[in-house]
Amino acid sequence: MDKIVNKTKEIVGYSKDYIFKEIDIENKKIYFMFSEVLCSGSDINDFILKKFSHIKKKDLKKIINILPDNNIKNIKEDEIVSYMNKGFIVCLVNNNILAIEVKKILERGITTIESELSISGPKDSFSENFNTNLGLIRRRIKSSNLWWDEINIGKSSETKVGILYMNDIVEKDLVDKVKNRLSKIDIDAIIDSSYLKDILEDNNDSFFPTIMSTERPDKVSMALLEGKVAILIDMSSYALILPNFFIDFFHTVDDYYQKSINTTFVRIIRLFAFFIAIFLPAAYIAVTTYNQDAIPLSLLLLLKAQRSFVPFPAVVEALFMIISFEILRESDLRMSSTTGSAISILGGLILGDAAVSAGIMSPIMIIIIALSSIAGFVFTSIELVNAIRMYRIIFLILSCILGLYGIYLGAVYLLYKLITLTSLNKPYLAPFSPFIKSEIKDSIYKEANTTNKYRNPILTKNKYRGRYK
Amino acid sequence: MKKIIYIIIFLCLVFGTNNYQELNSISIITNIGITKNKDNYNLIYQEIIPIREDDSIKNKYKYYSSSGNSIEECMKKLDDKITKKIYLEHLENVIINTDSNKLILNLNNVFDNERDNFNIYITDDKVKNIIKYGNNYKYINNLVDKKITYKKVKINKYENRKTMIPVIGMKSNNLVFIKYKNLGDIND
Repeated sequence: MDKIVNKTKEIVGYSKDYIFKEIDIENKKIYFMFSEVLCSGSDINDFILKKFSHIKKKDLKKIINILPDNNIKNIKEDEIVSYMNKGFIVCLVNNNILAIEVKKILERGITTIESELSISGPKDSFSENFNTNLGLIRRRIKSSNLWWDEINIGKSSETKVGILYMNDIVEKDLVDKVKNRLSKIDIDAIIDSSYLKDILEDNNDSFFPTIMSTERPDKVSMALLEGKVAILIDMSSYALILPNFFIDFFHTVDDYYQKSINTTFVRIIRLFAFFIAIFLPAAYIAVTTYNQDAIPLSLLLLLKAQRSFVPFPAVVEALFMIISFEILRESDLRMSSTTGSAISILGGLILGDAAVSAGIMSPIMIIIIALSSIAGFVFTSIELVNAIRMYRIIFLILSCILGLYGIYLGAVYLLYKLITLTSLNKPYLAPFSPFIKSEIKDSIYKEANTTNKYRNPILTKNKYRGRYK
Repeated sequence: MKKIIYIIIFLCLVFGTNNYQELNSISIITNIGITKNKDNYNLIYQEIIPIREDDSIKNKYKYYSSSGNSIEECMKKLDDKITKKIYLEHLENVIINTDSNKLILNLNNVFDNERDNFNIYITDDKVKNIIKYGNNYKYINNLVDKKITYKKVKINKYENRKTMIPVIGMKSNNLVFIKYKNLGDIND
């Protein structure tokens, strides 16, 4: 027993937050080892030490039955440090090594959603606690078919990763693929769920996201019921959903909480916003530098008048504006909310107005870049916003080289990339390519939740929803 | 595959920017006047220059003229005269002071590769006076109800149909529509 304690002390490097305690019960030594930063001191005193102070030597053999804690495990010697780091107190008694859970609550609790706001619908969001997050999903899906498998990833972090799926809906092949990819990860630590994205994605060279991260338990629940797989990571307030299709990033949870006809309209608006966000600056450059004949004379005169005092070529002006906006956005993100609003006013209003007055920028260019940037922020997925940002610049350069032909060429390339992209080997552009008639009801067009009877056949063979089967 | 992409990118960079022209570097011509005296041609360009003044945009006009043995020669001279690139894609009207249908029908050779939906007018007065009349590039368009575009002239010729060209002129210092003249009645 002494040997084990000494060995453990050596392993943890005599760090001061690891407590090694020894008590005597009728000349029988009992050792306790725990981390004071991870374990609840009051729980140890009230439920462990107090209990041991009343125990007699003969009761030590059935100690597991006497202790009140429901999470007591018999562990091996090489697991001691691992359990200590998980918030267990390790007890060496009668040549047995017991690990008793006495975790300190180190979480902020369930808070309201910050990044994926919705007008209606639930407001609770995931936190950094795995069990809390799992509980938020279980409260929504009470079916016994909600299964989850645990994997620990990270040599140093040993992060708990849970793979969630509906056993009666999901394709087993999907779960196996996810498990297989996760098991291949060889890394020191998983600090956040985003660490897993690289390994789970089919194509890392694509700007477009194929994995959705969300802090909404309702979104994860919906995805699970569609036959998708969700991944929860301990100490991460974002869950991962996969596989995803391109059209999924145009949907929000609000779409399912509003009247379907309104949702269809909003989705069309989002589609327009996508095209405006990517193509508007490029189209402006193309028609003002190559294809002036494509616009009416009155508009051409208006644009010429606005650009008459600007000393730079239109493309330099556009790139300057885009970069300025990105700097502004980046500084706004990193600043506190109070300073951030001041920066927005300074950047958006004062600098914009001053740039026009100084003759560096034309008002129309500010309108174009502002409109395309705002259109990009219609989407909740930051990965999609980033993809749009990259393609905006690519198309801008193409339009500068080839005018409208450059945009056509770029659009063909973009379409090619989207068609060939896969998410867990599922076609990214479904239900348009391949065309799936039943899924059109929840693509751009939205049918009412109660009348949409079928799940996506690409995702699952169990395609009937609810009692329709 | 990558090599092909690099070659395409290289070719695009080399040849792609060939037609690049900034709005500031083009001279937008809205109206053109052509006068023919025996074998001598006179060409007038009306350039429109939009100017931003406070919260409004006003159009100013600049006129360029040249003479030569052919319209092409006149155009070449004007090309040298005007520092900016001459832009004829938005040409509105061509006013011709000549009784030659050959000239009207051969405008295609003059405005090669440009738009052909500009309007054609004939005048017996001085083209210079007509083109400099008014302060709006559309002023001529407002005179005539039934305008005839050069495209229509070509179609009518192809289909052997009559083409009525509007004749405009100055009367008491006002620009007015006078009559329609059949293109077939115009002498070579």
